[in-house]
Amino acid sequence: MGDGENLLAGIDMAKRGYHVVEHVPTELATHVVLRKQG
Amino acid sequence: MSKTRVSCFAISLDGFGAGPGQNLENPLGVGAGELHNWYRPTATFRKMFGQDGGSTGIDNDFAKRSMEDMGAWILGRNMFGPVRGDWPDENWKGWWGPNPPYHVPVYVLTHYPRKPLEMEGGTCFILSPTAFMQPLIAPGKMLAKKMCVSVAVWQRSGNTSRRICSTNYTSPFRRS
Repeated sequence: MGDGENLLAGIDMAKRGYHVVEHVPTELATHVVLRKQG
Repeated sequence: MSKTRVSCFAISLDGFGAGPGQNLENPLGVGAGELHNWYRPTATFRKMFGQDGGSTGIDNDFAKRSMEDMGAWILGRNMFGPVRGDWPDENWKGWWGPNPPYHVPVYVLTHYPRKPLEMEGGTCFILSPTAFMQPLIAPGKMLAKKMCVSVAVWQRSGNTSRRICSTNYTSPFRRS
C-alpha cells in the first residue's frame, strides 16, 4: 500500500513473546496466527 | 478464562491495516478496501450483514474462528467514525446503521467520551479512554460464558495496539 496506518509500528512482537503458530496461504490471503507464550 | 485477541486483522505486505485520508467515502482510508477482498465473500461476513450464501473454505474458517466466544470488542475511535476532536453533536453512531454487527459491548478508545450508545441487536458503544479496563458490564449473561475481547482497530491502529500492549490489562470479563 505504501502509506496508511501501520499495525505493528513501534511494537516489538518478538520481545513481547509472540511467535507464529499457524501459516495458511489461500488464493486471496495468507493467514498467519501469532500467539504469546506463557 | 478470558482472553484478549486481535482477529482477522488484514494488513498489506508492508504492514498497513488502513489507508490514509479516511472520510465518509473511504471508511478504511484510501486504497485499503482491497485488504478485505478475502473476507467479504465469506459466509461468516455475509451472515453478519444478514445475507445468505458465501464461501465456506479456509478463508471462512478463519473468519468464523475470529467471531467465536466474543464477549466484547475494543475499537479505536477512527474505526468508529471519521469525526476528529470534539464531537459536534450526538448524531454519529458508527458506520453500521441502527443494528451494528457486533451484538455485544463495544469499547471505543477515545479522549472524547460520550454517553454510552445503546443500539439495536445488543450492541452498546462505550466511548471512553479507560472504560475497557473496568468491570462495567453488569448483565449476568455476559459474565456467565467464556469470553473473548477482540481488539479491532483500523485507523491509528499502532497507537491503540501499543496502548493495549503497554497496559497492565486484566480483562473485566473474568468469570469469578
